[in-house]
Amino acid sequence: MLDSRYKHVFLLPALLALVAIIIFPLIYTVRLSFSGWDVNFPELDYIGWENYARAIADGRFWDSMGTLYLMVLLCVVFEYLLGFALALLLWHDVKAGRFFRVLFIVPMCVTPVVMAVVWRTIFHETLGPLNDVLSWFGIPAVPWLSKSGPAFAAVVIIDVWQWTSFMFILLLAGLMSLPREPYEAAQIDGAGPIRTFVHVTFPLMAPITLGALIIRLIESSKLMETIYALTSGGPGSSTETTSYLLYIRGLREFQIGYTASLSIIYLVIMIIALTIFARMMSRLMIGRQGPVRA
Amino acid sequence: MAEVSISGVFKRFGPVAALSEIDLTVHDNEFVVLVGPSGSGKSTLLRIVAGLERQSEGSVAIDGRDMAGIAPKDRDVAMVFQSHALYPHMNVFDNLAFNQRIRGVDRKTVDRKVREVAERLEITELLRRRPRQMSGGQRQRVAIGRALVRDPRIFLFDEPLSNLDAELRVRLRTVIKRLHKEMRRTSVYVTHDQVEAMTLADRVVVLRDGRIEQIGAPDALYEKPANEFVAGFIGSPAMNFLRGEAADGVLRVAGAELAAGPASGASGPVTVGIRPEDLLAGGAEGRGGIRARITLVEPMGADTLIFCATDEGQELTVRLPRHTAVRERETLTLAPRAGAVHLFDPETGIRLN
Amino acid sequence: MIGRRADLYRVLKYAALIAWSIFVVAPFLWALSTSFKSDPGVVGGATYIPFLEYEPTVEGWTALFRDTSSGGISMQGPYLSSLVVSLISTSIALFLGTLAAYGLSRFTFRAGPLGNNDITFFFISQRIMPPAVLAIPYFLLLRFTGLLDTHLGLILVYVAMLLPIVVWVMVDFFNTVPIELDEAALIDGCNPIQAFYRIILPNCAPGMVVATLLCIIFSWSDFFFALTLTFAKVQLLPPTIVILNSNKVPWWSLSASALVSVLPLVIIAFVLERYLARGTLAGVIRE
Repeated sequence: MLDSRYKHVFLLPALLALVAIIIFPLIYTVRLSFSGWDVNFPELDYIGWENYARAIADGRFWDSMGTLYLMVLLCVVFEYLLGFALALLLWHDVKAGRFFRVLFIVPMCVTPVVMAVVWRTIFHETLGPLNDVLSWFGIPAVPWLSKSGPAFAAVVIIDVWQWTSFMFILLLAGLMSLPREPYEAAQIDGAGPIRTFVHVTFPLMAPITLGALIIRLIESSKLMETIYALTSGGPGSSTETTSYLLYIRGLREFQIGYTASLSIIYLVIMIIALTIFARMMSRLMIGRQGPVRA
Repeated sequence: MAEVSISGVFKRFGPVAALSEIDLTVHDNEFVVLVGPSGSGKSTLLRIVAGLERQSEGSVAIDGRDMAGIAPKDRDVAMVFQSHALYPHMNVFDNLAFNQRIRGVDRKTVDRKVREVAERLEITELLRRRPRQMSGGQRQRVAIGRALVRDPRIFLFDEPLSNLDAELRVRLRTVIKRLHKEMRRTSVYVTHDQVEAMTLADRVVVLRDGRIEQIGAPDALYEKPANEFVAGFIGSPAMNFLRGEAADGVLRVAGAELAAGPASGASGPVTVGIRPEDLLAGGAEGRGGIRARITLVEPMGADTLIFCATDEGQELTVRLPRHTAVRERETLTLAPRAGAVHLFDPETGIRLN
Repeated sequence: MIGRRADLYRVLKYAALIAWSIFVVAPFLWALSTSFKSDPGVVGGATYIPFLEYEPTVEGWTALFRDTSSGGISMQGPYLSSLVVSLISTSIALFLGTLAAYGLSRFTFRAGPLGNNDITFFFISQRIMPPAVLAIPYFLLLRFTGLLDTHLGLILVYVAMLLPIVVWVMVDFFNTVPIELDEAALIDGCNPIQAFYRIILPNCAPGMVVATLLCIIFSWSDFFFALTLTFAKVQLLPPTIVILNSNKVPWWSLSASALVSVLPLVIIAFVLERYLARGTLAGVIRE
């Protein structure tokens, strides 16, 4: 470690910026959640826990959370499995490997909401190509955006299309950074490809897998933009995620105080859930081991 | 002209004391080597002199000027690191010239100085190369060159040869020694290798657990180690230590009686230290001879190392001339060279004679 | 026998890679094809191949540059806005974040019981914050300060969104550069700030590239803050396109506008791949 009186020059600007732009607004949200601020009464009064009581009884809020977690779970599992499979396929030298790699990371780079607009035309029940292609195989037209099940599936398909690429690149980077020796040892021990994967690759990849899963969980739990452009939460509220509901309640209906309380509940639950998940997974996969530092 | 005086320096990391009560003056033009096992605080001391770390207590002065609050760049010291620490994004020329450029020295002078140093270290043909395109030995030469170009008041070396293989280490050691002979600059050199310490130093400082165990010229340390630790640390293979009894000028060790030597008023249990090269084979058994059975013979070329065990099971290493006809399982009678017996207090380890 | 099995494996492997490739490019190809269509190519059901299945026109593309009054969608304004906002917020976030990351990698900071790792985690953990939670206070605070519907307001918000990404990527890059380099520079006559930008920064160029590209992707692609914090004066690309979508703008100009807006990102993907696949990110994720 270096030692210098200059050190604060490096850290402080960013720290102050972060506190000003994130922490202060967050505290402000906590304060708002105890007020009855809405369209008719735009003032910062104090109404105690009223908003929270209302939130706890708000079925639509809890439904949105259920929808969100089911969606996130499905998306992340698919993305992980597909991303890992693709990474394994492109791990060792493959003809046109660079071509595939570039292609596979394009989806994570492009604007989600703009792609959702394109996907909307693809999912169009009569004019879209998806039902047309399905009909080649004799599958009847699916009402993609007007029935709740297919609409839910449509959101998941778009998310998997977009973010498998992210899992893929993280896991590929992980695979490429693995040490050679364990593989040579496994080869000498006469382990076949499946055993090598189970006993060498998978455990070695555990820390990276865990990191990638957590990042994806965090990012996908913000899911809102695709829904805004694709289904507007419908049909009914079948694809309404918490973020989308917060947007409707807060910035469309302007129930500021109430939405603030929903935000706080949502944030607390998410942090707890993530912490439990991270603890559980790290015990399961790594067995309590700190990050490796060079 | 440069003299480093370190007085009353302590360095604590939390509750752990890395350095305690360090007093040391490095005289002008002197080559001082700090030696000790890992964790002895030798590098920390060097870094405090460089200004890379701050002592918790005490003071460091260069030429009488207290260095407190003075940044490394303003101390006019140059340092050679163990990991060479060459700037990877610059070629050798730019690495060597960096300091002079930062200081705004004019281009012509920089060019001349760099070329002079490059010639001196025989790295002229490497000037356009990047660090990663060179071997370990070449890199360390450049690192030394980077220090030379500056012509600083003080040279600091932090285990500069530790990452090199044995042959290169010996070669670069002589390069450093020759440079010092020519330039006569105050130098502080850190190493864990006692051979480096012995060959390079005007004076050696032996450190253990953050304390100075002994300061002295290499010969003095070898011949009169102040305590058991220094005795065991300096010299390779290490000194033999045997349990003994002293009484009335007679020393009883491993079934033999030796003359305890003059000036030794010691009596009672003592630790007897004898260097492997100070044990002579042959000599009459009983009076003045230690009986030991050979367990292993290691021919080294110039001489032969013999490992043996006394009747009581204490282990001994003996260095005998080449061609000594000995075989494993034979019994030797060993006698120490006159005046080459070191006595230490078995409790405190302090030298008794 | 073994040869056969290896061949079969190879065939399956390439089949899988090609299948996924088709899935990946399908939306782009569909949008590309659609962007050259006109009414007959769309209303009769899905068509794919120009000339064969429909008569291509450039109507969708020319509409991008025409005024709204003449049936166009006038993309230049939002495009420029998006460019300005993402470049400025990326630069600020990069500047602040790189300094902070260097500080966290090189110096010891203490704030009560919290040390460097906690502060680093504090930075990175801000990614947890869902935009929907922050949108309300941002809306109110920007309104108070008169920054609602301005470029500056949006840039401030984006800086907060990007800072954690920069710190996350750069701390790890700085950690891979040995601290002896800083020390050598300090002894060689640099002050800490010179050591940072003359020695360490040039050795972290790949990290800077990755951080920059990620910042551009995130700020260029943001929809939520652009939607909620700007309305009339400032128009960025993503909301513009989404609003077209709900305004019954024909599919061809919609597709063309979508393609134009993601084109820079596709180019970025090509550059990014170089750095990501090299394993440079592996250490970053291992947090």
